[in-house]
Amino acid sequence: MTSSLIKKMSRAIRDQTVSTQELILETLESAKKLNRDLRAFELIDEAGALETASILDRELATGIDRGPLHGIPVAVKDIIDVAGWPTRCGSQAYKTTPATRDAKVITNLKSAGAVLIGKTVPHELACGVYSQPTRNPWNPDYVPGGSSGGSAAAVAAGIVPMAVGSDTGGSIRIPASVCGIAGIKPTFNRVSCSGVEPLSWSLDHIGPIATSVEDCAISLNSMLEENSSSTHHFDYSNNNLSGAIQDIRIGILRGEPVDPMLPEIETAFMDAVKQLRSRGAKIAEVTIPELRHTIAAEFAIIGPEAGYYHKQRLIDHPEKIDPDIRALLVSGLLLPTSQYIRGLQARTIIANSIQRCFNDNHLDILLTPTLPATAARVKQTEFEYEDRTEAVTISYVRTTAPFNLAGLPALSVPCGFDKNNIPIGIQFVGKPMGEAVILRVGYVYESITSWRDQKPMIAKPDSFGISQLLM
Amino acid sequence: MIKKKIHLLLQQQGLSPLQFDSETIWNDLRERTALNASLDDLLEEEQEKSTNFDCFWEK
Repeated sequence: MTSSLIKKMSRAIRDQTVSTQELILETLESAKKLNRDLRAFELIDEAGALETASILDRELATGIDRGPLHGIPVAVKDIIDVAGWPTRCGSQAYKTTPATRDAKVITNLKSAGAVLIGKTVPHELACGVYSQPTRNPWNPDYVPGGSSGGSAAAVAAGIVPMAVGSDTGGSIRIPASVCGIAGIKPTFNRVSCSGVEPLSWSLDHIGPIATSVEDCAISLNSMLEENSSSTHHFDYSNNNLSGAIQDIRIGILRGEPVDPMLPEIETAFMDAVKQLRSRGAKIAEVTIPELRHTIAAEFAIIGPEAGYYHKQRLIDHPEKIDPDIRALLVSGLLLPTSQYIRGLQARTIIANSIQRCFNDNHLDILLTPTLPATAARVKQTEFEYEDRTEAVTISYVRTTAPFNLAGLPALSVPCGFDKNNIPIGIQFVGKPMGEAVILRVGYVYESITSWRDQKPMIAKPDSFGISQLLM
Repeated sequence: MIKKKIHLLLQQQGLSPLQFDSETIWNDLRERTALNASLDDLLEEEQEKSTNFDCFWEK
């Protein structure tokens, strides 16, 4: 049986168990109902979504089939332009004027038949990991991660099977991990950032957050920006995720920046390694000492790039920007250019060190816990490790940002729960353009575990109308 | 003295010094400069090695 909610919905539409309009109507009802507690949606466009659904139903009736996303409800992080909807970036410093054009990724999704139902809450300016006021569906006392927190919460609660996110230092994988779902940051620039409000243009990536690895693959296939003649063309149309992984060599990343981590993370991670080994994957332990400089390199680049982009907002309405983010932007403008250049140099060294690790150890995949901790409580600012305390943001970014600096594809998949029943994630990192490999191994891992069977506290009930048909 | 310098830096960027707290900015600049200085080890270690980013993408 497929793990893909998108496939189940797609099948139900095609065999006329439900119409697209019925599916979208139910999606909108659950979005409105659950959003009272979840606060994941910034905007829900009932009229627009139902009109699109009606058009897509007519198309199917006349034999026009746009593919696996035809009629599938999708949510969009509110830093991405959708024509007719405002792009607010979770910030009072943005106007409510509607965007006049779709971002390129939205154009691609619309032409694939996706029905956009609304916009999800980001952390302000996509620069943080709390995404308030959105709550974690597994427990509303905890944050959903960020900055794509609203997108992850909407997917984890079962409202939509996929939501679009962005990732500059982990912003797809962090919320996917703490919300117990899958999320992939593809290779740099593989999904177009055109029409997306940047945080840091050289580190920003766009990708899907979805209920399963298979749904990530289906969604990514429609989001990609490439021509079919590319030697690295990613084609999911043949359902090519299944298969043996005996030919796969996996490097387990040890030392910094993965350490220190909470004991429950270590246990869940090593159990996952054991599962992969039992399926025949070759395992080797590796270290990349250069990655201890990840945070310094990441912030040396984000500050100037974000400060330069938001300069006019700092001139016009600095009081409307969160003080911590404002400080990052101002320092990015005031610090000497040499610090930015040093960040770029460090980035090159870090990227090369990861390359050497892949090459010297003949690796196909690098494996890490997605995060060294699970979800933080809403007011929590630090995690306590055996030998130190560390800011939540730094903890979350140190294991994810190396692969923004290197531009490598990275996938987060659920691999367990902590004692408070908050999800834990595992991160599969690939070579450049290596999405197919990490999705295949992630899919195999997901299919031999049952973490996805558990339901969060705030979720669309299975007895909720059409959901029963999709069981 | 520090306040004056921060005001000047803000003005050079077209920002109004009245809308920002100089001390907060000064402390933040110091922290970020210290973090950036921690890159010294890495940059010195690698000074003699090839740092061609493009080759990473071609392999």
